[in-house]
Amino acid sequence: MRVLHVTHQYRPAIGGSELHITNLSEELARRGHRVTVFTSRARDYRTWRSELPKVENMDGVLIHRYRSLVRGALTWRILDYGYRNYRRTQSRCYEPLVFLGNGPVCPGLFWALLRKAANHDLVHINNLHYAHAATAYLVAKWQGLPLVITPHIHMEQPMTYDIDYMWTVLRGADHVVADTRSERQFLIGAGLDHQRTTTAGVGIHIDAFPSLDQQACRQELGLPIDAFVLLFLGRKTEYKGLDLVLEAFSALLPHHPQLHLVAVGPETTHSRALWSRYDGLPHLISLDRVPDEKRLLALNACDCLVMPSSGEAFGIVYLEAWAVGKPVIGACTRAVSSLVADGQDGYLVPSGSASQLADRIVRLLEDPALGPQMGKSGQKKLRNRYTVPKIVDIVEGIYLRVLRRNGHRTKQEPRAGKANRQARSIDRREAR
Amino acid sequence: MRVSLINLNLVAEDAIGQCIINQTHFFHCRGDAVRIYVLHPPRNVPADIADVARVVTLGDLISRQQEHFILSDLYIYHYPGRHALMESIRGIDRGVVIFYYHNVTPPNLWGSDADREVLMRGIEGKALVHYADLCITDSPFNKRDLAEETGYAPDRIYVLPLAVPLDQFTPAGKDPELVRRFNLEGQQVLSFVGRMAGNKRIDLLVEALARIKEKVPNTKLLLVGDDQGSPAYRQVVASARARAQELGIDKDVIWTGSQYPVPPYLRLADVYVTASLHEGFGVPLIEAMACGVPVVASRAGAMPWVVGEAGLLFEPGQSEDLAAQVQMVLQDASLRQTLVERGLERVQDFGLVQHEAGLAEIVDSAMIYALPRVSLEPMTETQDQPAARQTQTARSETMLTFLATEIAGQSDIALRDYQVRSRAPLAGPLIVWARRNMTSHLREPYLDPMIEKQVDINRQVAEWMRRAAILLSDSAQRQIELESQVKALEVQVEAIAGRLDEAGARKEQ
Repeated sequence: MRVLHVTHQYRPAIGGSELHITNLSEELARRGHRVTVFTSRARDYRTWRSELPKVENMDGVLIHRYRSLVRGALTWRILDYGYRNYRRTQSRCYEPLVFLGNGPVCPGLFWALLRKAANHDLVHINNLHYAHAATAYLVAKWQGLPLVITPHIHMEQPMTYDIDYMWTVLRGADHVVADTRSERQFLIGAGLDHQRTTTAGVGIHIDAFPSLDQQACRQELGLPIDAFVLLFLGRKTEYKGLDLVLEAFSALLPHHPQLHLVAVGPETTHSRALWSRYDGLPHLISLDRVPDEKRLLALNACDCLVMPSSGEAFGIVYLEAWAVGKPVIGACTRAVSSLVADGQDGYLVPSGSASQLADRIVRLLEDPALGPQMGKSGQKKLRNRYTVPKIVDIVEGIYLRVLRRNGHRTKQEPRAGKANRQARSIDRREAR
Repeated sequence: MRVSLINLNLVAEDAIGQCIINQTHFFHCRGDAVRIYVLHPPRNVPADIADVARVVTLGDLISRQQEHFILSDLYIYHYPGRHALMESIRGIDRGVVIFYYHNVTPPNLWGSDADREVLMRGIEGKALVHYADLCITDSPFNKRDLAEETGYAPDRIYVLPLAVPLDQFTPAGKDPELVRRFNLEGQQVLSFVGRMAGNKRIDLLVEALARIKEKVPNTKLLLVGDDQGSPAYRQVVASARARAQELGIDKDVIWTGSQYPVPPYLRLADVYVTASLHEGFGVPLIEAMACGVPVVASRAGAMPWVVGEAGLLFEPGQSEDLAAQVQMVLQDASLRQTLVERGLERVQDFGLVQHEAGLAEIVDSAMIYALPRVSLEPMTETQDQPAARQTQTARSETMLTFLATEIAGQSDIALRDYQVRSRAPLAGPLIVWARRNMTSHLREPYLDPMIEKQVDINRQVAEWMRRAAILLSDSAQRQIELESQVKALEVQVEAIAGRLDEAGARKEQ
């Protein structure tokens, strides 16, 4: 199969949906499909500044990157103006402003799609919210190409998806891949065909998250061995819930002096304001953007991941905690409650409730066996459902279903030689 | 259309083998061309099934040597566990693919390490369901199990119970020959049919027998099924025998090994018991109920659903509870009678007719979903059997009626509620005015009449199709009447010819 992935950013840019499309592309390439990625040259969606090379081949995936218009203060104002007025009037004339404000605006990407998209069996758009989705949708429809989209909808933030042109993209796609069961239900409720909507989810490579010695990790991070360590892991923006964690933490600290909090993730103006508010709070370590190794150290050093984020499309970070056998506490949003089973592999607390959050932390603190047990149960769930190969099985199945529905024959028989060799080896194994 | 059925093997006595045979007959009757692709040569199957079965390897399927396979419109992958041919599901780029899930026993219940790897692969391989357009499975328990483990959408999983040949499994007296052979005269018999795998908990049956014998001394346990086919079975049998010896009841446990046909063995039973911890369906339960035998089963897997109100359930793994339930049936004749009656009523839901009707509905809806790409024409000459022809006619009629309703529903293509609107700030009303008034010269004389004409034609087409469906069913009816008349006439002609011959012979004399 020849697959074209169109995404706003790709590795080495960081983020949940970036990681998802990278894992997906690489695993599909490993399975013998020819995967091309069209994306922007940016590594930060706040500026869309073109930094990355134009063409690259990473782990069997051919990546074409295109220059985009830089998002400056003016663009953000345009986006804000567009959003506000669109919400108020529902008039379509503000949609172009949303489109331009979101970016990445890449004329080169549009031109390349027009020229090259038809060489592929199928176009897969990753992430609905940015401008590349509408661009790729237009081209795929003009050229009659089968189209799959993984929208990564943040259901709690209607502003980001409830735009008419985005619904046109969703309704026009041949198949929509939801991250969670609740997202699928939401899409079906909004009028999408249940046959054309499938839950896949996001997977991680378990091998990338080995369990390390907790004591050594704590020493490395300068934490006491016998502490009870809470970990916040993610971009410190408003909706991720760092303020709630700090509130619960500062309330618990006088009664539970063994508590420590490690907050890892890129700082923002929001987080800087929080630090000044909680200035001088002991037992608190904050790290800015860190390399993967340090991230792994933090995951292994902690006793519990605390991320009461109110706007997750999926929540890869919970999977990462499970991978090293740690329990998680998340907010009871639609996406996260599809992933975390309350009381089994972690806890869910009502959005915005610091007191409930503190209550769950105390439960884990007081019963030392409970946390590891929940972590283990999460780890089992992760192995069963959310590894990269499992997710790719689902997506590969969707591609085939879409091709069958569209009466397309794959333009090039996938890896006839390799497939035959694999089949022969399976046959030999069976014969034995 | 062309249909490919894929499975590991094809054994007539096996529940899945029987299911494949039923499906092959079903598609044959519809006039479809069927091929069965298996890894191992078929065993004990009727000649017409053996004709369409092909023994292949995965290489044969994906190297596109099997013309029927690569051109099929419908693929049904039976999943009794992961087998090599399953891998071909990853490459099907045409038609409709159905994953037929028959459940896999969890390795921790298997009771032996012998087949652990195979079972683990079976559990892993469930994820192949994602390559299918829809999934059929035998029970709501299987549906839940698959949806939970793989995340496959429950609204794409259809429950279709396996069919039991109710004409073979009927109530009748105990076979005196078998009673004599197993020395069951004057004995109360508990029986179990199935392979002696760990999840069936034979040891629990033995323990319960010891308890039952305290109250009902003349009780025996008859175990019918494969007890030597795998090291795991042998292990289970050895430990159950040891347990029986320990309890001093080894003479009361009878192992018959695999026996066919099964009905006479089921009829020997006064109660059918199963202590299985995991069943995706449980065919023997239905067979026992159909033979007029009350059943006692554990409250596990699909069994509570299969048994319904028609049998007694006990807590899985608890021999005291099992013994208590069995005693109740043995000692209370009216309860026994109620259970038998309810059982006979319950099994009516698991007949071949229901199975075929359910399958037809699922296949037709799947085919209509993929309609533009799939040829629905019969591929083989309809067999010259009135039943086959009738099914074919009934199917065409359903199809016509369905299409007629679809077309009738969509016939009104005019957008009658449409109102010209514009949300443009300031210029909006002007745009609305312009669009309303500057297009009327096109709309009123040309577009509106054209659309109305098309609506009329659509309605007529729907009406014609409805009438055609009625005519079709009338003519089929008339044909059957004429055929019976022709038959009657033939009989008369033969009688007259016979009489003439006799008269001729007499004349010669």
